[in-house]
Amino acid sequence: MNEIEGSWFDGDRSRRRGARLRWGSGAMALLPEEGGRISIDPQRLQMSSPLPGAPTRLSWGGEDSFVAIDEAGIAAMRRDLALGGGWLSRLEKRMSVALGAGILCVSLVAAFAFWGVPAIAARAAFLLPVEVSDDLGDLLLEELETWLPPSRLPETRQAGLVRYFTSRDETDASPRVEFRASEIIGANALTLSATMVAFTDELVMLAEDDLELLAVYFHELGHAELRHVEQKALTASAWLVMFALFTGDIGVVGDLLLGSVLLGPALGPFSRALEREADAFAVERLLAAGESPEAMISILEKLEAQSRLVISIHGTAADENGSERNDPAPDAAISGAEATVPEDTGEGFLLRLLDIIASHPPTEERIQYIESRIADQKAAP
Amino acid sequence: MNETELARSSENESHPAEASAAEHFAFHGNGAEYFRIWIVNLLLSILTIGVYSAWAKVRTKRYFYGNTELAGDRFEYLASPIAILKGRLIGVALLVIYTVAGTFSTLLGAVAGGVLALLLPLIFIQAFRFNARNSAWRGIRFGFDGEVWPAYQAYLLWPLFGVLTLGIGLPYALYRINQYQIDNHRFGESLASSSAIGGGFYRIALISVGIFILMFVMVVVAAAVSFDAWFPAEILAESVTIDPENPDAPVEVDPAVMAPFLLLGFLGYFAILLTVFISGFAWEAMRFRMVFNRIALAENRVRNRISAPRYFWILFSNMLLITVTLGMFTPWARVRRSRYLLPAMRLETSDLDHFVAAEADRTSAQGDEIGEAFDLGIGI
Repeated sequence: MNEIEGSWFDGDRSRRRGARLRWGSGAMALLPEEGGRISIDPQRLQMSSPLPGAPTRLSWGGEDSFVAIDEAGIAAMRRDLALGGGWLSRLEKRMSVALGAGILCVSLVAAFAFWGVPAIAARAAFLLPVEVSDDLGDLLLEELETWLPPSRLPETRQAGLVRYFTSRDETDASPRVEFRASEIIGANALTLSATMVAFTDELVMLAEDDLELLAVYFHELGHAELRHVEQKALTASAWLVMFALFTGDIGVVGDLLLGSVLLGPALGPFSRALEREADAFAVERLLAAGESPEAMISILEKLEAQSRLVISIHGTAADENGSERNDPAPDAAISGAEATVPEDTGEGFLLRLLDIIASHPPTEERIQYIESRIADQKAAP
Repeated sequence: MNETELARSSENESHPAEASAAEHFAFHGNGAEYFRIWIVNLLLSILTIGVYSAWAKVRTKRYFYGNTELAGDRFEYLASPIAILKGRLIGVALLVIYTVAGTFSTLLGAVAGGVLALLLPLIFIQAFRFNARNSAWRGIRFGFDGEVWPAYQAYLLWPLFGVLTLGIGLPYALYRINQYQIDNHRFGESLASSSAIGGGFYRIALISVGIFILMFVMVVVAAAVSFDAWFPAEILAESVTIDPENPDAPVEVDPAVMAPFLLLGFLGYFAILLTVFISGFAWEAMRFRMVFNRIALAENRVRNRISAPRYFWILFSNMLLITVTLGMFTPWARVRRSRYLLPAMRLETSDLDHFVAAEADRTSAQGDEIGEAFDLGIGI
């Protein structure tokens, strides 16, 4: 009973001939329905690997082939002839394997996306030529044109600040400093790329003295020198490529749909981790310049009080007591209007929730962190 | 399934003479079975950082070919995964060169892009050759004999003509591409030919563009109406603050008004995207039906009774389901498409037993291996 039925093709004409393939100890033969016997050297036998639902093709050197759909028969033959393999098709047959594989796929991809990609981006950001950062800065500045009209600060004040910043800054290549008027964004500073930072006029006016502005400058310099914007951009594009790879069949709609969902956070505010890095950087630089890092805390407190921050590089905190807050929800904040907390408790809850999921650390937490950094730095010899 | 049988029987009634000489295609795959193969492919591809994808490709094609039946026999896909892997490595290398060149300088990127564009017709030829040679039925391989200069005409010059004529020549360019692809295919020694005409491509292009324009206008009207309903002029006027002393200053808008405004913009964006896709799928459905009604293989003719609206619906709903399930529906979507298309296709023939293998295929079954790089699925 060591035989299977199938179709025999001679490779010359498209004619099917019914045949049986018989195998025994060390011998194998094709028995066509029309009669006769073709012996096959088992050594020369080539067999397509088993695949659930697909026919198996056997050939033995010449143009002839034998095709069988009988999966059980093929499996028996593989066993008898001690042909290895087949483990793949056994995996492919089990629903439990499929479910496990599905879960594993999702976990692996998610792990890579959330840890692997940012880690690679953090290194890759330093490999980018400086021109890329220049272009990126110009591009973002252009994009933000409507929100960041030209500064109304006197030229001399702008130039004086830049001179002050660069004189206290140890780096060889200081980033370009742009000043912009912005009622919409309010008092804020932004890092646009490794080679460009921007201050709003409102921030310059809010600061008590230039030292506070230097503290902000060093924070932005931290983002710039550590190439945080480049990291975010690389991460975002890697996510987009990954998404396109995995859903090749969705087409552009799906790509764009999820692309925008993915790109949002990547181009949005810095993560807490990056914000902390920049804070630590600023503390270090202030101390190195012989200045008091307390200036950072005082400007953060002023910003918190002002609380009209929008494209929030410097986030604001939820008031723990929930009694009063001026922190607009991120969406509404784009408009820059002076939103106040709605009395409706439902919406208050929503704002609180937004604050929890917001990626930038609340001011209070940042101040605590800065204080701990100051303590560490002072304790160090 | 019932539907297929029903359609077949109705066809027998309408063309009794032809039916006896028509062999229908059939598809035996099913979604759950293919899902298990697909997910194992996916996992192994991830674990091997993409190397396994060449094997995955072969298994996928073997599954679909092996479940496609004509006159009692299944199609076969015979490619070696190693050949595909080599092709993919070359493809990835080309793309990396192109991307890196573009990162360092725009000029370098443009040069690399130009070189890549010049290579493209050659890559297409290789891909068609590879795919055809590794496709077989009843032990006879398909083949592709397209030559280089006509490939440049089809893939570079005619599309260029289409662009230079501001798109008016584009359907004609697509027609030329179609003719090049089909006319150069063969099964064994029997040559394939397409009797499609340029006018047919213009007809479906006009319908697709018409659908696009109609939907676009609908989206714009809907946007205007809802904008009026949500933002009456008086509310807008109240919510916008313009500094009279400084008209250049940024306009402040009440966030309560701004949020739904952004939402409306978002909806409009997706509506336009959807419009692009609906017209694209409409094009594809009509194109497939037309092209596969006008193919001949020697004296045998490929015909179908695909309904363009029905096929459109399958493409469209597949896309929605794949998006909603974050890709998990993909295997079912592919099977669903084949299950609809294949039983709707037939070969009008008097004799399927006498196709002869081409001499060239016997001597050089191996050979050009680069082709698969860009994974060009051609529907034969």
